[in-house]
Amino acid sequence: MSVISQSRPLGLDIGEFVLLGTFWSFSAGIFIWSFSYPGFTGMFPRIFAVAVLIGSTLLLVRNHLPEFAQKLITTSSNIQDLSEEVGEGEVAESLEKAEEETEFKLDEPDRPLSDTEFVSAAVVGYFTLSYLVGMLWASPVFGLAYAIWYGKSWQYTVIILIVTFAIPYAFYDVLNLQIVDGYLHEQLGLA
Amino acid sequence: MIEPGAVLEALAAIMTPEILPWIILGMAIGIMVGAVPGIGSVLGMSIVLPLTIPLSGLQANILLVSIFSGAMYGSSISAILLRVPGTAAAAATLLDGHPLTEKGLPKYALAISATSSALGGGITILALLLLIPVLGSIVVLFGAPQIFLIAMFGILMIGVIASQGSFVKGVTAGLFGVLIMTIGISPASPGVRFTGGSLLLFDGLDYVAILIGMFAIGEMIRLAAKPRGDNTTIVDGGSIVSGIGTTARNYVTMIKSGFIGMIIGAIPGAGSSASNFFAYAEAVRTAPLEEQESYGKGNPRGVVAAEASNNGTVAGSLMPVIAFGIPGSAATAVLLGGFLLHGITPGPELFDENLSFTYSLILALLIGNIFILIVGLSIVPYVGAAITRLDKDFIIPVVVVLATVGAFALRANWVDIVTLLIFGLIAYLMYQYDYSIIAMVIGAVLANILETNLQRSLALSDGSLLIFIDDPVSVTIIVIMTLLMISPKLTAWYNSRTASSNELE
Repeated sequence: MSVISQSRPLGLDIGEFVLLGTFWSFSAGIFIWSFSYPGFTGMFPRIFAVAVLIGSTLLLVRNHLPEFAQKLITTSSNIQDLSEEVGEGEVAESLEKAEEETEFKLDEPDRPLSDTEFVSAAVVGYFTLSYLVGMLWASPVFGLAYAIWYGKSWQYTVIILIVTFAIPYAFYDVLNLQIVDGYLHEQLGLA
Repeated sequence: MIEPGAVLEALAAIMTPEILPWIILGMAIGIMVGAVPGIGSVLGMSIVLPLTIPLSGLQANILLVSIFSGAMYGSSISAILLRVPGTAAAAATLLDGHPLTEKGLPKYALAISATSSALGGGITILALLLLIPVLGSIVVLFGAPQIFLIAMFGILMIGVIASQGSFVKGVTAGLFGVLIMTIGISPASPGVRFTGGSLLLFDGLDYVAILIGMFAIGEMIRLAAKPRGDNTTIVDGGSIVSGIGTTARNYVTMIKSGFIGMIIGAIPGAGSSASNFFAYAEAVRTAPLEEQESYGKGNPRGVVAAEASNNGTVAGSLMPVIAFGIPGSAATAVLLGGFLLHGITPGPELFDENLSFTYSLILALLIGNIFILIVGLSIVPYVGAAITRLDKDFIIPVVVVLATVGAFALRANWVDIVTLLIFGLIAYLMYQYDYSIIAMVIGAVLANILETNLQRSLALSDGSLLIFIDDPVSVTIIVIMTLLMISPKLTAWYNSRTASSNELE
């Protein structure tokens, strides 16, 4: 994360650049594609694509605009600004203090991935495995991977295994949801 | 005038074994998800939404609205006991609630919170019940152009008002929400768009999958970065009866705060996170000078004000959803998702042929507030600390699995799982860089309403845009919405001008 955030395309953090790039490229694609559709079917998405294009372009290049334009783009008209005048500042301070106090109590071991990176990767892995072998079997594997990664006790591991199997099983049983088989079952002729 | 027949019919409908358990279950889930920091009503409602598929429309929406209401109260439990509000709705509660715990009076503070929440919520729900005929008579004045204007302004207002630092960010996020929903079959014309020939995309993206992705998966990625909870021992003490007495003595603050919450709740983008501060500030402002210093140090009236207002917000925030299908907050966006998922169309129908549904929903909330009172006084003071300690290592895997299987249950379409992942990551990035997630979700939920009503309006006017300004109702909407959007800016400008002129003097 720290290595990535050192690069700042257009003066933005890489994460924000990716986010705005997604907005921009999606709206540009929809704008061009909308001309393939006649009348109102194409017009409605075109209007919104233009609006998103303008907004995301302004946000992407905001650091390279004149100061007055930057101020205009980054100004908020937030009703909650008013609540700051009536005590939110005090609460924010109080919350920050509470968080700092909690953070002091942390004694986390060093891991190759941050918690956020691990959960994101685990979710991607879970979805992929669900597609391959079926959600009913992938869910407890996800629970097990989570427990092992964080070095949880065997009691916790057993509980989380049971719960992460019981949830999809309940859906399978009640809604007859087809989550028992995956792509691999189909390919191997086991479905 | 209120229709007593319809009210009695609704009351008879909800006091049955088919409905009553859903109120109790919803309130219990709401209190629990509200009490655990990091979950809250929106996440709770989002993961429950796909589970409601086998239920009837009334059961499902009563369950959802009960979670919404229960979580408003539930969020005060961790604010009072741990000094960490379950949601932003109870941020002002901790100012005086936690000092009471530090003084060894947690039961007293929790009793004030339960009675203020239940009574503040109950009174505003009764007011909403009385307002239904008025709302109904306003709704019939609205045609396609007015509904389009309200939906459009709803998205813009949320983008502007709930924007975190930049209105361009808020508005862009809201409009992007509309844009993503243009994939698939057009609701206004017989055309299929942007599918690339894929049958999986024929019905477009599912807004429920977007909701779950943004509020459940995105929130879990965010929660992962938060520190694990502490195990501070909470000293048990304080009198529940004294807490009830304190709320009763401060009935003016309680009623006023409830209505402050109700009014702010009806404004898109404001919601309970703002209302509890406004009500708290009003309580401080109207207190005698010698008492003002005690606020923030354990003044029970501070708890009364904050808690009555956040539960009052529920009644207010239901008004634009029921009347126009315009959600003003993330929780009401999920509720609207519940309406649409079960084929319930907000607007005139809810004041005419489906009037008993509307009254049932409101009366369920009223009963739910009685449940808050009972549970809040008899159970929460004894087990509240245990609820708030539910660890993120349990929450994350369970919520991810529930959200994923729930999203797949919507249509058994793998596009929904991809949607979950993409929008989960987008929500995480939006949170990191202060983009309004609520604006985007509301844009996605309102896209269908916008497109249908724009198409109808243009068909009525032969393509002329003048239809949006050629009648008094449309002009009134434009004026009110514009004033609401610019009022915070004008107030800030007026305050700074007054301050600088005072300095000069």
